[in-house]
Amino acid sequence: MLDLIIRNGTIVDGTGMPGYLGDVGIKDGKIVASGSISETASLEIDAVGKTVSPGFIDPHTHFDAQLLWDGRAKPAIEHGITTIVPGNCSLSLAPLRAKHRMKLVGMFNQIEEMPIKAFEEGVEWDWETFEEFLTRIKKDLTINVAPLVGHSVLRLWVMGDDSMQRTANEEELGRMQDLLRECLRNGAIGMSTSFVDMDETLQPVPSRYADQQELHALCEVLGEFNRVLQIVHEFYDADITLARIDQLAEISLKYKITTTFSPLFVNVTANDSVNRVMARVDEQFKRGARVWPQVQTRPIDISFCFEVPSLLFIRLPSWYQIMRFGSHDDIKAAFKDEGKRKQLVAEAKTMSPIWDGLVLRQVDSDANQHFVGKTLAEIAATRNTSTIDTMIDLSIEEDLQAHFLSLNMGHTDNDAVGNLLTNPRVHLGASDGGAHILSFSTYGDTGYLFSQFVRNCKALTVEEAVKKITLDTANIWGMNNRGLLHPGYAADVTIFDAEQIDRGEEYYVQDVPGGGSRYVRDSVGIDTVIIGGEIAYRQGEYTKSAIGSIIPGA
Amino acid sequence: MDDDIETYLSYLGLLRIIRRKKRMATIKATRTSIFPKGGDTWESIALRELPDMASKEAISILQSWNLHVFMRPAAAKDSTRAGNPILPSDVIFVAPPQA
Ligand SMILES: [Zn+2]
Repeated sequence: MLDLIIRNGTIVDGTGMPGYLGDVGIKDGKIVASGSISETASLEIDAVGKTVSPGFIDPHTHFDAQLLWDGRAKPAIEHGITTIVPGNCSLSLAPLRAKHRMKLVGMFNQIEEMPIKAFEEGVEWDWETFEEFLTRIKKDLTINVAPLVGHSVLRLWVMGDDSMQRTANEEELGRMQDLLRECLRNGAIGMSTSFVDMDETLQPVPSRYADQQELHALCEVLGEFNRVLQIVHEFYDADITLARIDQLAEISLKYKITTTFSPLFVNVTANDSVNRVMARVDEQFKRGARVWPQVQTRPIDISFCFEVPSLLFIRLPSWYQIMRFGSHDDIKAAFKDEGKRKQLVAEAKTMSPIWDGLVLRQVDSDANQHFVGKTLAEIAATRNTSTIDTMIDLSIEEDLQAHFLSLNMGHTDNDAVGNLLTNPRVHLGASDGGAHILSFSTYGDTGYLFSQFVRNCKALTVEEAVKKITLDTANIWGMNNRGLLHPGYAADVTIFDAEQIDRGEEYYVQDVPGGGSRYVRDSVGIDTVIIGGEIAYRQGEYTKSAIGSIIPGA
Repeated sequence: MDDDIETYLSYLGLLRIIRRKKRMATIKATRTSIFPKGGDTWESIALRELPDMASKEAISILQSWNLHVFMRPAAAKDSTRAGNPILPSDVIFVAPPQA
């Protein structure tokens, strides 16, 4: 007698081989049979007309904070994701001394746009070590978590304030190595570092003060445990990216570890840069190095309102300054002040083409409802004013609660992106799930993979797409016994309608502790999600029974 | 005829070995860059990497090759790095972009 049998679905097993009609049997959290199963089970799921695949794995997320109040990492599971990798880009929530908590909250707020209030009201700070943090999130965990430990927090633990001042000395290097060893021993899947991020005072994060010697010392430890190095690099510049690829390749070859860098975007104006990057990746793979570029499926869309600082304004210092450091009233006052407004308008003109195409996506007042869905250029024409002035006026009228959407800011060339996704040396997934919650929805990239690149562009088959986000990801990260529907593998399973699977429309929802909001997307076409042999989500409903694991596990 | 085939085959084998050696040993040259040493400044990098150039000229050419560092807001006044935007983890180009 088995625990669960999924009957008569099209089994797309993760290998990339053609799907076939059959049953999948589960017992004690593991796949025990596939094909024809004559046994019975205490629970059977009818999957006629559906595709049955291994659970999807999202390798680039920042769900660290959310896991403290939501062990499902909503809405990841309903998009078919059964395993997430948090702790990317040099930031994790452990190990962290009590006295450094607010420093790290500042960094999370700046880099991942996680509201400070959410930490104040949603988080009971009852951990310091990595082990204590994992114990804490395991109390109520549905999704599997393969956590990275952040280089910046290792530095902060060992060096305190000096972590943002200088390189480490020999003694500090030794302590950082020991600390990393302890994290890896307790279940970290690797370490993340950043060469670009800034803290809340716009100073470089601690990892950027590390020299080569320090990075190598830490990667030597990753080698001892055969674990992964993730970096976020200067993705806006191809020459620097090539230098980073070479740096990672040397590390990969020397310590025999997997490295991965993110993000890699297709840039329409500099299309050649992706080709140069991939040519270098190819060269380094041929030498035996493992240097995986992470590519996301979705185009870059940015949503914003003036209540919170937005990435879109990062190149406009006067705007960013007031959004980042000004209060609600300061921002409104600046908009109303004639001189200040003139300066803002002049500065915004340097990015002129963007504003015309902005779409008004949400307002509170009845008076402006009829503008929702229109571009600023269209609204400006009816109001006889400029687009930038329209954006400012609407924001004043809506008490800063006018939401704008900038569509297709990059990574929009579907043929080029599709082509890139099919490359066997491209690692699919840089969703940033759980981060940038005030700029765009970081959920639904897997649905978009199928709707856009399987059904629409036909760049990949269903089988190839499934392999990319299951077995390939598990292999790259060394997640043993995940990513295949073969006997002995963990019973993480996603059942979906291959003709329907998609991401839903983006919307703004207030569900972050402390009264915070975020942009999310529902899933389309996902029927059932099974984690560790238990149903975590079925036909629109979450259940309580599934328990997530820590991968690789303590 | 047999000799010819033998020569031809060994030639093929040789070619294969040469090809493999080439693949292992050479990797296309990209734009030359360095990682800074502890406490490096524009001046110290210029002195070390562009020794044949007058210091002032070398510094300004280095800065123009490394706008990603040069244009960065300088460190806070009370920082030990005050006045020096270079970070130990930076990539610093010591050659112009390749044509
Ligand atoms: Zn990230």
